[in-house]
Amino acid sequence: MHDYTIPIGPHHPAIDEPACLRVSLDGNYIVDANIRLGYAHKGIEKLLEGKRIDQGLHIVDHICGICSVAHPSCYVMVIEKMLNYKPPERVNYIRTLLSELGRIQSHIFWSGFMLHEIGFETMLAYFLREREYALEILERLTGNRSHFAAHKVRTVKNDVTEEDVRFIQNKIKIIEKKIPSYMKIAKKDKVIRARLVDVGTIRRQDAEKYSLIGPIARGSGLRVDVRKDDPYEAYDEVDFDMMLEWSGDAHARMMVRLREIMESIRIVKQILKNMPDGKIPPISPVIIEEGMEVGRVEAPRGENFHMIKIKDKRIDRARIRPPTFNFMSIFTKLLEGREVGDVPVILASLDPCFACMERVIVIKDGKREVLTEDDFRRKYV
Amino acid sequence: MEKLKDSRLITISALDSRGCYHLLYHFDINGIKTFKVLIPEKKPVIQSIVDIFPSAEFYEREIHDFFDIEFKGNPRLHDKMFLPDDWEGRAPLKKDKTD
Repeated sequence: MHDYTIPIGPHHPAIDEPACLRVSLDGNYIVDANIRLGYAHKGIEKLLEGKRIDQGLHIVDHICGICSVAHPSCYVMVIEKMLNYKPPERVNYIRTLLSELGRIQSHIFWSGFMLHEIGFETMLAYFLREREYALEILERLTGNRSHFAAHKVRTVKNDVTEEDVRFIQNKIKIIEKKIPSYMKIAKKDKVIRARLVDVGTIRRQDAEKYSLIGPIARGSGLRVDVRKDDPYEAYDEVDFDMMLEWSGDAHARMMVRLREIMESIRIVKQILKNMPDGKIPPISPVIIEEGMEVGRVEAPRGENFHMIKIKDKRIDRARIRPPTFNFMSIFTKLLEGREVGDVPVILASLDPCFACMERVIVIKDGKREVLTEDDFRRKYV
Repeated sequence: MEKLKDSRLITISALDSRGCYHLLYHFDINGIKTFKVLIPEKKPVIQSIVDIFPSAEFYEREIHDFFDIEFKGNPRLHDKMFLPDDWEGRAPLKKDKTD
C-alpha cells in the first residue's frame, strides 16, 4: 500500500534539468516511480521536416550543449552513407579528435557534478578548472565553446595546423596529469564510497535485458561500445581499450567515466601523432533526391542513433534516439526500494541529458494551440 | 520477436507514410538491422513488446504520444510522457494530406 506520492521536480534544487518524477512512498522508501517529461521540448524532429540537408545540419548542431559533437557527427555520417561517400583520412582524423575532446569535456563535467550531488563542492570546482583546458582546445579548433558546429557534410569546418597540434599537446598534458589524482580520491575516499558503493546497482543480466548502452552498461560489465562494435570515423585505426567495471553501482559508473577520460587522452595523442597530411575538401552543397539511412555513433553517454528519410531533396522524417532516452526505463526501476535521499545520486549516476532527450513538438501557450512551422521558425530558429 | 530476445533493441521509430504507418524496430545484430511493420491508418493497433524488451516501454509511449498508435499490453501507455496532460488536439507528428 502506498502511504503517499510526492512529486520531485520539474524545478527542484537537487535536479538540474526539468523532469517531474512522481514517487510513491512507504515511509521513507520508494515503492513506485514514474517520470514525466516534456518541460524543455524544442520540437527538433518536427522542425527538421521539410528542411534542406544543410539547414537540417544547422538544427542538429543545436540539439544539446554537452553532446554537441555526437549529434552532428552522426547526422553527417548518415548523409554520407546516403551519398555513398567516404571522407578523406584527414577529415576522419579531425572528426575523431573532436569526438574524443567532446567526450573528455563531457565526462569531466559529469564527474564534477556527480561529486557535487553528494556534497563535494570543492571537487566540482577542480573538475571545472580541468574542463576549461578541453574547452580551450575546442574553442581554438572550432571557434565555439558550446555548440561547436564543426561538422559539415563531406568535410569539417576548420583544418588543424601545426600550431594547433602543439597547443593541444600542451593542454592535454595538464589534464593528463590532474585526472589520476582525482581518480585516487574517488577510489579511496570514505565519504564518496559510502554514498556511491551499492547505490543504484544494475546487475549484468538486467543491463542486457534493458538493452543498456554506454558507460552504464560498461559499469555492469557489458561489452557495448559503438567505437569497437561498428567502427566509424578513424576508430579502427587507433588503439584503445574498452573500460569495464563489474559491480554495476554508481561508484562503478563513476570509475568507468574517469578511466575513459584517460583512454580518450590516449586516443587524442595517437590522432595527433598519426594525422595524415593533405588538405580538407571545401564545403560544397549537398543534394539528395530520395533516400533513407540509419547510423549510430558513441556519444559520451552511449550510443546515439539517427534515422533520416529524404524525399524530394528535403528531410521527410528524422528520428533521433539520444542515449539518455534509452536508460530512462531502468531509472524508475532502480528507485524502487531505495530511500528518497538516494534519488539525486541515482539520477546523477546515470548522467541524464534532458536537452538531448526532449526534441519533439509541443508548444503550449494560454490558448493551447500548436504553432505553425513559420511561427515556430520565427520564434525559435 | 521472441527469436530476437538475445539481441539489443536500439529503438523503435515510426513514420507516417500517408495511408499507413511504418514501425521500424532497429536491432543491434552485427550492425543495425531493421524490421519493418506496417499498420493501417484507420485502426492503428499493435501488440506491445514490453514483456520481451522492457526498454521499449518509453519508445512505445513516445510513439503513442506523437502518432496515436495503440500498443496493446504496455501498462503505462496512456500516461502522457511528452504532451501536456490535457492535450486534445491531433497527434503532432501525424502528417496532413497537404504535407
